[in-house]
Amino acid sequence: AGESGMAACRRLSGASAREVLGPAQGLLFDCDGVLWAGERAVPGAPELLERLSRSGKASFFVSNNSRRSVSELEQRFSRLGFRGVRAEQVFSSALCSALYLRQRLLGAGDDASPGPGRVFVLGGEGLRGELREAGLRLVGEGGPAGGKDEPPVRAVLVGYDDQFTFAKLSQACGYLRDPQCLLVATDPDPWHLLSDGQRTPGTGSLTAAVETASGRKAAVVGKPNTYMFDCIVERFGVDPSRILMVGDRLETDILFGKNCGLATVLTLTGVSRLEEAQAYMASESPAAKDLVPNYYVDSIADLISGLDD
Amino acid sequence: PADWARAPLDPAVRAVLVGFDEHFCYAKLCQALRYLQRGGPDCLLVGTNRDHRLPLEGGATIPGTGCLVKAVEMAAQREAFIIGKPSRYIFDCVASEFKIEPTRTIMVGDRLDTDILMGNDYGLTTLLTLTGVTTLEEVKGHQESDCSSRKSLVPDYYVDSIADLLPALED
Repeated sequence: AGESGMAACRRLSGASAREVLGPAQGLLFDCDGVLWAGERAVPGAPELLERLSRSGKASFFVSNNSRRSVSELEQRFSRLGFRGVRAEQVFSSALCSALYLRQRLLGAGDDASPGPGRVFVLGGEGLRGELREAGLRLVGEGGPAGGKDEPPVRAVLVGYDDQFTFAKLSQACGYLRDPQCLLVATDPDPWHLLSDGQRTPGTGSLTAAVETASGRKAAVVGKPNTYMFDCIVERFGVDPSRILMVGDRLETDILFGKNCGLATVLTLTGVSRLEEAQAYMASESPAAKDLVPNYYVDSIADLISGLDD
Repeated sequence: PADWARAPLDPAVRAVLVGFDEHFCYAKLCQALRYLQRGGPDCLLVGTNRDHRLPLEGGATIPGTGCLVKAVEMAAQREAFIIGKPSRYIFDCVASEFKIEPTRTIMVGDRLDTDILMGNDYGLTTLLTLTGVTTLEEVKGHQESDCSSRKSLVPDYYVDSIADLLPALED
């Protein structure tokens, strides 16, 4: 783990898997396309997690999906056959956006904090629930409607919103006219894969609309930005040089691993194809190098051979 | 979205056109993406214009078509062909229809990054009117900048209102 020099996209199995997993303290997994695809667990994935636990290695989960609250994700793990995954191991962009906003809107002793404020959310119930749990007040909820004692709107949060409308876009821009009002996005993903292989628009596309209308740039919580890793370090104190990042999306997961100083493993059960990784490796562009994984596997089940019986 | 992704697609669709749509919503964005995915390069992606904001009376603004175009471009990971100012296409439509001589034509507009930029790019004399979205301070900012792309937003002339042109036309 923690290799220097350019990543070489080496296939992992058997001896090479043992060599890489042996010294690792823990693994950080993306969820969609890695552990499961739609409503189906990737064959062997539940067994891998169990074996990791028995080997004394930590597992953490980091997902850009801002639809689901941590407790919904916990239920999903269980429903798809993953045993023993605890809520504290799960870091969704919904949770981390709540933590990010809580620090900035409610943080005490932070001289940059403008004081308590409400959040205007473009997103569903899973995201809203995480924000409420973090103690944040949301526009349109609680308090007398239009009461003049309502705290001002101090942040607009763009998440996955399948109820996004022009009217909400316009409302967001109204709040963003105040330069004190933050613009935050849960993740930058332009699209997501549905189980039938079609693409559905992601938060990134809605954020592009809000940025264009407001003339502002969003602070993005999710991968490949490193804030979610900061949340993991804060809670568990891990050593990046001994953690492997396992993901299916080069521009998100692998770049995230690189940005956080983690060795990276691409799994081919999701979005990115091996040819894409190889193309980045062959590219002249320095930015492309950061998208090349250290290793790849056809599926995370291939990592089982790297663990002792 | 899983349901929307199962709705039948019209087999005849060969282009997605993004214009001003106050009823824009996620479901439509989803459909647009499906057509673009299905057609690949054989399905055109066209945007009427890139304006970020549209002014309303009293100084308020609403999001412009440019926002919706950006949302589709980002989801589809491709660039739209833009018809409107400052693009060449709309200028060519007018210039060829009316045999315009750029050196003898004045472009009059209120927006620097569409009206004035187009006029400057295609060799017209450019005149900014201050009755719309742009302030003189903004122009001065671009004028003082070292950046050449900002300098191309600076008009040749300005008026407080196009009514100021009347005296020049009186006999």
